[in-house]
Amino acid sequence: MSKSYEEINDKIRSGKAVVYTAEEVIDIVRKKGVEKAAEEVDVVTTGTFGAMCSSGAFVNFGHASPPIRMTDIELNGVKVDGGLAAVDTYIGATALSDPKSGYGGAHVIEDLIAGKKIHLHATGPGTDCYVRKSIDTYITIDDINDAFLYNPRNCYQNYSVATNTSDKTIYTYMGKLLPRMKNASFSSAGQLSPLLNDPHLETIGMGTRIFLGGGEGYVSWPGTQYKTNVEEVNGVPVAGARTLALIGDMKQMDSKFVRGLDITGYGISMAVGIGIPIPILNADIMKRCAISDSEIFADMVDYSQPVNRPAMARYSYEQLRSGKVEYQGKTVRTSSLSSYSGARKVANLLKDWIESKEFTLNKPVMSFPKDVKLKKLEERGC
Amino acid sequence: MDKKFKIEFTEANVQDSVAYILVTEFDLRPNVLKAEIEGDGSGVMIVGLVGEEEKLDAAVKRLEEEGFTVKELVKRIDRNEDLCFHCGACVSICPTGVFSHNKDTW
Repeated sequence: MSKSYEEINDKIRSGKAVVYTAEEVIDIVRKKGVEKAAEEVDVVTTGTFGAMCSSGAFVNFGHASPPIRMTDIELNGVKVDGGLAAVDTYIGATALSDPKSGYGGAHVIEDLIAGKKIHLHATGPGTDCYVRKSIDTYITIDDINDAFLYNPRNCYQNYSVATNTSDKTIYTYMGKLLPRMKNASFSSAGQLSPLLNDPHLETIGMGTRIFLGGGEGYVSWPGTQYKTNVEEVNGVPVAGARTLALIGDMKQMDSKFVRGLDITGYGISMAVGIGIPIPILNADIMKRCAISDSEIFADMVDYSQPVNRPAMARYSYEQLRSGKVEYQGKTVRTSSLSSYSGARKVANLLKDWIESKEFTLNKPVMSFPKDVKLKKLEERGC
Repeated sequence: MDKKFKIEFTEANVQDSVAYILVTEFDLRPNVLKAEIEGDGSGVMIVGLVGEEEKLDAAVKRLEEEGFTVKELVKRIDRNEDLCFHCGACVSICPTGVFSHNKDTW
């Protein structure tokens, strides 16, 4: 059995598409079998809502009278990029100017989307054509010409579980890790996660239309650090593998789904709510969408090790979500850093959008790489 | 006066005698919120103490002399419902296990 994007989109436009979230579809496939489920189900919606550090926003402020060529720019005290033409900037999510403030690029982005007034202070060298040297004003998202999210690395396909064997508490991007393995943290939406439901990216690629931060967005490019050579169990990687670069108009987003995070002792990050629809084109795609937390595994590594972090143990997301796992006879409490209830909300919202005929699926214009390994940063002179 | 303390002890100290000392010598009413003892005999106790302020201060000094590490838990931990996006990071860190996942709504 096979369906095309056109057939599925026709069903969406006539309000007849059968849509389930990646969580709901697990039981459906169990009860009806893969073949029958594949005939009946048209789209599976996935969701995730966790910290994604490699994120940010492109903004164009428009020109003042007289105009200024900005080279040093601060938004609410956070330094943002001044190397993009006269009045363009990129606000990096993890940018932090005053460490004590706990307010960084991600918070500026969240506040912009929420419609708040943002303080803009910019200076420039003054040129013959841009005589002005400084400006101090307040802007909102409605005032500025352009504001779009461009996140170079989102939707990590799985991620290692982090623990700490040392005698001191460590503060990491995987949260607060207590000494002697008192706890471990993980970050994935598991059975709801986009890239764990289409693990070899058969339907997700450049141009795939998605839910991004509460509005419509697109997959724009393979994400940075995209890699394919990761061990797989049950058809999915057991540690971080593929990633996606995403793009979307911030003016239609909802700040509930784009959240600035102040990670204690580490720095700033941004949690992004993302949902990706998977067209059920054939039975194999249906089978992969039916994967459950008990079948998805992640390797645990020791974050107190500075360089090499070999895998210590392997757990399923069902085990991890139970609140505790066992390691050599010891109980290790576990925490998710990715909001599963948030992921569920996103997957359900995307399902609503598709069922109400507001959202059709895009066939990718470019598929993503099949064979990629990562390089290390070597230290060398000229 | 009502104060909360985190008391850390090594295998050289005996956990039972802590409560006994606090009650008999300083007239304090202890409420043990959490006690965790490792395989090597060391551990941590989170205890609320009710009594006169001078006696509370004197008790802390006495415990420190005995080799316990005593830290007053001054900050009240509140959760801001507007900011919380329900990631779950707090669940494994809270020493008294106050937070947990609601399997139905999580």
